[in-house]
Amino acid sequence: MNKDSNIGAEAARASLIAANGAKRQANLLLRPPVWLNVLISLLAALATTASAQASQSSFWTLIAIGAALSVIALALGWSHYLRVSGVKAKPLKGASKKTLTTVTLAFSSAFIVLLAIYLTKQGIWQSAYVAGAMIFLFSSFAFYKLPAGEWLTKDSGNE
Amino acid sequence: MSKACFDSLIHAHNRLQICALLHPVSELEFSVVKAQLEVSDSVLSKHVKALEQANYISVAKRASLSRPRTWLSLTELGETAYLGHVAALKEIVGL
Repeated sequence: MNKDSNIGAEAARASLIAANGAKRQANLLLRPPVWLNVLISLLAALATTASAQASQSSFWTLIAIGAALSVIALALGWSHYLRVSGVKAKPLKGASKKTLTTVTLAFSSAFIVLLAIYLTKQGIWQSAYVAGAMIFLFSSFAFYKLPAGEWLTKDSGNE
Repeated sequence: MSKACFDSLIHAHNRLQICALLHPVSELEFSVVKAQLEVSDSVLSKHVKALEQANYISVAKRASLSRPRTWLSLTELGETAYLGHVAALKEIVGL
């Protein structure tokens, strides 16, 4: 196989733009539609707020469990829809950039939830709602900008 | 960071795009790749065959809901070659 390159900078730049464009298209295939993004993020926010309030009543516990199960069901539903549509997402593997991003997001979200639970128990009830709003923003931003665990750039040019 | 290595097999416009499409995902169905590249079945088949012969992509035929489907995925060798080729292109451009 010929491994020699005899192409100019302009041709190489055009190839890079084409490759980045295709990569972006593949990432866009994994991005959920806006309505689903908003729905999952709202349910995640509800689960967060309800979890923080859960120690105060069984009603909030029920809402927290229901919202968390709904988030899981919607995420699995989206994954199934992707497979039926001919797209199979990459699983987390080793110490890749994607794994690091996903783990960081998961730990940050867990930290926000635990902090909200702690602060609510301390009597700062507003923290449950602040944490809910933060999780909503965090989740919707992650689904929009990091659908495949990699930052989705606006243009398809030089990355 | 991948070692820069220009690969003339991958460099062909459609083949580079096939590798770029397959890199962020585990598998893509043939029809999805075809729709993304806006090429005909025969053109895509030709490029897929070339990449498969080089062991850069794997082709799996599986039936789903009683419909035969062809799934394409980048092999480890293909991923290394693709990333090396992109690194070589970046070197040429000076990025």
